[in-house]
Amino acid sequence: MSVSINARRRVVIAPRRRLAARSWRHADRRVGIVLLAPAFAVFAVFVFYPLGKVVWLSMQGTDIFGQAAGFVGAKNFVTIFADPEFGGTMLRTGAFCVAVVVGRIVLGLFITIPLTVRLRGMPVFRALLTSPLVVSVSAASVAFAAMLSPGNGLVNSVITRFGGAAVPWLTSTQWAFGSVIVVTVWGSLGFTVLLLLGAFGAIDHDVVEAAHLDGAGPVRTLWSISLPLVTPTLFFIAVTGAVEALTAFGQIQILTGGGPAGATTTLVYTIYQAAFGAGSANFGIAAAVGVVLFVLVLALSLVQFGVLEKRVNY
Amino acid sequence: MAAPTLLAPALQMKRRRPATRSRLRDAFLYAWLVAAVIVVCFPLYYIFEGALTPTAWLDRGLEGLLPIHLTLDNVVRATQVIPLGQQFANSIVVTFSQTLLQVTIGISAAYALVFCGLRGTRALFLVLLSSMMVPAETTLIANYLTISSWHLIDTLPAVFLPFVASALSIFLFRQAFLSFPGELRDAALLDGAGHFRFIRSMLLPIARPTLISVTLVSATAAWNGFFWPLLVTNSPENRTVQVGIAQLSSAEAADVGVVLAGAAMVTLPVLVVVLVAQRFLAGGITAGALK
Repeated sequence: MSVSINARRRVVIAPRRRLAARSWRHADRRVGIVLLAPAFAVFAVFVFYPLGKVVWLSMQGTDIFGQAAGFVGAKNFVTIFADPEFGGTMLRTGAFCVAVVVGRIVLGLFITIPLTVRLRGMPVFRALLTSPLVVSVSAASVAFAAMLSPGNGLVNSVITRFGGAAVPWLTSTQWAFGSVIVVTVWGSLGFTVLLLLGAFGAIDHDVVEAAHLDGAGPVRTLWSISLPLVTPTLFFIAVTGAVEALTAFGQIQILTGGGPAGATTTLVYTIYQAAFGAGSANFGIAAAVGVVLFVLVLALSLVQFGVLEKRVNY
Repeated sequence: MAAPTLLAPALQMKRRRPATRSRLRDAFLYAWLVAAVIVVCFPLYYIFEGALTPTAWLDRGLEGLLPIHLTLDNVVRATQVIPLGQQFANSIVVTFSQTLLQVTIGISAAYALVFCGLRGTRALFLVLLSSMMVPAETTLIANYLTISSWHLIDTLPAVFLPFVASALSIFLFRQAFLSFPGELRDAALLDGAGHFRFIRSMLLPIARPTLISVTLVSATAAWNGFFWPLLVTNSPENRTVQVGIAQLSSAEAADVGVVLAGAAMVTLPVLVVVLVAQRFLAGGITAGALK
């Protein structure tokens, strides 16, 4: 039986309509297949086939021209995991994800909570504080690169003006990682605030009112009522933030190029370097890292679906 | 309310105190918000102010932040250093093609899923959705090989072809279509309207907020793309403007004004679109986020 989701809804409606529905069902199906075909074709060619191909490539050796050169089994995985640098990259990627997620949630809340108060001029503040949304990763990165540049950068010229010593924000192993984190968090702040505004706006006003009547102060209300009610959104922001951080590329490429001395090289940057970096065309290794990335993103998505499914129905 | 006469002094005290406290609280909130705006919006201000300010003035640090020497020189210089005009045109072509196809394919797929009574609709839908779990960075290498085997490297179709269908667009259209009353649709088809006619004159007008949000979200994503366009284009005149400004930044790092002019030119179109259609963008993003 063709019990599509809407067909199930239709069953309740009068028999006359069901009869009518039956009379064009055949034509409908043919049209449906034609209309679905383009989407499936695109996904087949550019998502599912390449996913299979990357898994296959990850088990292939690579010749000097980057062509697949015979089955090597798990050798590429063994190679990357045995490489101490890759361990560092994994740890760095993890630290990057955690820092970005925490930064984005904490700052997002600090910005959004005052925005939920009813005050004159609030729409202007809301618009201004979501505005970083319009800046692309590359525009943000080149602007921050200009601000943080060691020579004529704004930040250092202000520091030295007040008697401080210039900081090599992007060129020292000590600072570069933090700089990339700051840029990444800033880049996702507009989106975070937008999501949080939506979540806080959706809170039932009566619940908050009731808490007030029961004598709860604003802090208590926020902590015991509002925050628990926006937890699903916070969770969503955490997961998408983690995926975003896992797949960060533009800011790393533009700000530091993965350096200095690999200090800002994350998983995705490793893929780029292995496959397309200067003098390197090791698609087998790059594909193996790609598979690792896929497994991590898949795990995050599954956790998200699992948890959201539960939380949405509370 | 008989009590107030008796309790008046106490009540007044109680009433007045929250009033003053809330004025204080308001002042604190405004200060907080202004501080947040300064921190959050500063890079945006810096991009636009710097784009219109000579580098010599910008290099003075704090003073450079005062917009008192405005000029268009940086913009002119930026277009001379790299073919920014051509790259702008490339980005428009890519954004337009990608968005148009994503919307068209999204509407037709969602229509098929909702209205055509296909066998296994749910399974088909799940297969489409599952594509969202595959990060583009994983499939990048294989897609690069595909595009290269089609001899499309360094062409504009290479930039947008992998993204002409989007599971998110299909999902959002499906959600919008599901709320369409089945009776109306049956009536339309009985009255002789074809599928196309029905979609155009009944479904889309009703799903218009979704249509606008999906268009905005797709267009912004297409315009902002960086990694993939960087991989599949080589020659400056085939680059998109996002890749262009990154190259401008590494080549002209000393000329801050020129770099910021590039960043401003890339940002301006999105800024305008968002200002004009902010509520739709918010709707699109949050709908996608929170089902």
